[in-house]
Amino acid sequence: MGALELLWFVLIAVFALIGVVRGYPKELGATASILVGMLVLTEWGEDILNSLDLALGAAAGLSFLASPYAHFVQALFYIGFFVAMVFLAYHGETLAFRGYPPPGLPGVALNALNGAVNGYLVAGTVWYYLDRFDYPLRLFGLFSPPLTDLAQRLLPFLPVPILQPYLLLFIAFIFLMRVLR
Amino acid sequence: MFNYLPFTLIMTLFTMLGYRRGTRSQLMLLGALVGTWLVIASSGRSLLRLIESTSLFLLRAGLGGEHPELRPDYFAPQPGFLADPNTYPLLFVAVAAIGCGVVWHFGTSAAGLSSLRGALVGALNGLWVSYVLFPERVLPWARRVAEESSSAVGPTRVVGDRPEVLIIAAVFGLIFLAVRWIRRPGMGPGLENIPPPEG
Repeated sequence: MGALELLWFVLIAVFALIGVVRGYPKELGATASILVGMLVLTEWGEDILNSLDLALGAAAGLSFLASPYAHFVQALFYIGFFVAMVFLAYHGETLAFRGYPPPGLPGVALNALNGAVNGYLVAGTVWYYLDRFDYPLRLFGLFSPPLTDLAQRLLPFLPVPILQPYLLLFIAFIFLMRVLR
Repeated sequence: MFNYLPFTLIMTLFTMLGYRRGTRSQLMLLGALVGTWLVIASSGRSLLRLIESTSLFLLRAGLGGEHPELRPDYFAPQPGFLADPNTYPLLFVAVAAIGCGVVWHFGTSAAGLSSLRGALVGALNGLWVSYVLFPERVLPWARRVAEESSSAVGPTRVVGDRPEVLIIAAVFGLIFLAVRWIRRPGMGPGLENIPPPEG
């Protein structure tokens, strides 16, 4: 097992632990915010990035997206925006559901599962954008290709390619459940 | 903009309708949709031809009878304009829209478990109407599976061969169960359940 997929599994486990500590009603609110972040990036990410490049590039007199570091800039934008959304999702109450988990093992299991889902979304989305922009981490010597077999088999199951057609439906579903429950 | 906005709106509308009007009304609507779909599937062309010929007859009768020179050009549809398979979903949607109106107007308010069941059946109705309108957007894998099954090229793929479907279903199910099992703030384990001391 290579470092990348190991880190992915570890992050999912860490998020599961966070879920156990915080309780899943808060985790569900974070899930909604994370999905909104994914929706913004997949639907408008390219437009926002091009607009930023035009505005900042005009001020600096160059185009960042046409530079040799275009992949790094793109990855920085997508991952930076997403991590900021995750930070906001976990900072404070945000969209948290009111109430408490059920007592005992079911409550702990639900907490851990919801936390793990959030970990899958967060770590998987970051990995997806790293992969899409050819792992710019290698610029800093933090990653050396190629991917292991396991990592290559995991790539199709990252959240963005799977959930992208259903993101809006997921968000509507969570908000609907919040209103109707 | 969003390809999935109409789908989300339809799903939300039907789910809300089911939640407010309960299971019985949604099951009646489901029955109406099933009946309509069966009629269209079995005799859609002849049914639409009947509607088309009747509407053409009434249109001509109201706009100068059999004298074409008295009819405006834009009221001269050609026979066959309606009896096109592409218009079948419109008939289905028309029935769904009328059914929604009837259920909303004549249905009674639901509460408790009936609301929950109504929302589920309503979501099912919404999923079906959406699938009739734009199948490739609602369940892209369903169409792919159907196409792959109908062609003799490869073996039929089932859900088990598509883990992404399981992932999506599992996340939906987890959210649904988790929300349903949240205990209200008044039932919590904390000190908020203890009434404040008097005096």
